[in-house]
Amino acid sequence: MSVITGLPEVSVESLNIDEQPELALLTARNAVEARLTYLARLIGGPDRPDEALRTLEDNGTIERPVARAIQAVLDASNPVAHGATVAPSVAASISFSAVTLVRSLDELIEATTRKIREMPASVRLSYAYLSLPARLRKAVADEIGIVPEGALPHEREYARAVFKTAKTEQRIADLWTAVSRHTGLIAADANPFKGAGNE
Amino acid sequence: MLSIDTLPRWARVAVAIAYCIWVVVLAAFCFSVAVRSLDGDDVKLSVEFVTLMGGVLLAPLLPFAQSFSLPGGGEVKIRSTETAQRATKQAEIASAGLASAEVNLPEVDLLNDEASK
Repeated sequence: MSVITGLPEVSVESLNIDEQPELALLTARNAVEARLTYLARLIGGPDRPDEALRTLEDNGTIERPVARAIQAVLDASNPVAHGATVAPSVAASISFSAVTLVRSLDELIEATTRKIREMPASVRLSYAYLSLPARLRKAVADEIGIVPEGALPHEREYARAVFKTAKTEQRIADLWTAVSRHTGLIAADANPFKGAGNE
Repeated sequence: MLSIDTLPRWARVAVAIAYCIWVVVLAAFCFSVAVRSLDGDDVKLSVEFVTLMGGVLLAPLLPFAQSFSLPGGGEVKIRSTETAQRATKQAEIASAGLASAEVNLPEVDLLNDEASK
């Protein structure tokens, strides 16, 4: 598990390809999709793996030929996702491709993380919150006792409501603390809102 | 063990074409027997004969039956290494593209939402 992103780490060695080629293949695929979804969430996309690639393409982060190539790698494991079996040799080859993608996506995420860390505290907190999957966004809101109405955790309106309430009630420091428990994006930083009220 | 998966694509296509021709020839033979029978020729279409011809026609289909199984039955396989080779090539293309990619972060400041875009 990555300290910064909370994403599942995967390596060729960790995949038990000989014994469970199908599981290995799907684990590698899941690692790719998790990273794409993480990046898509950062730019305001939905918390859905099947829409992440399109979101990143529409945003201009990933060019169309690259998006197609990534999709081709993901599609290679579709039969297995639907219950087919696969020879270990084929699973190994496709899994290696997926792990290659994971490394490239991790580098992109690292570069993005560095960029975010140079931003003002309020922006860092915003990105840190948006980087969380919907269930953790709700967990953070629950933790600090904010219950946004009329919006679902995966929606931007929900995040806006959480931040607006936290600001109104002067609980931004609590929000920072709660978010930092779930993501390494701001975990290493001292809470800039502690004792300062709202920014 | 020799498997059709390991044959090159052109060889697999050749096998498929040969199989189709063989099925057509056998079907034509069965049809001619039936026509001659209807014309009054002395052709005895015994139950054994029909069963035999049906078996000869259907038996070659058995190796393909696996791929007709529904997904989830554990019977379908990714048969061709071409899929893996294509994935490898596409992963290289994607990695090269991602190396120069940069996430276009929108301006997000949920605390000062009026400035958010």
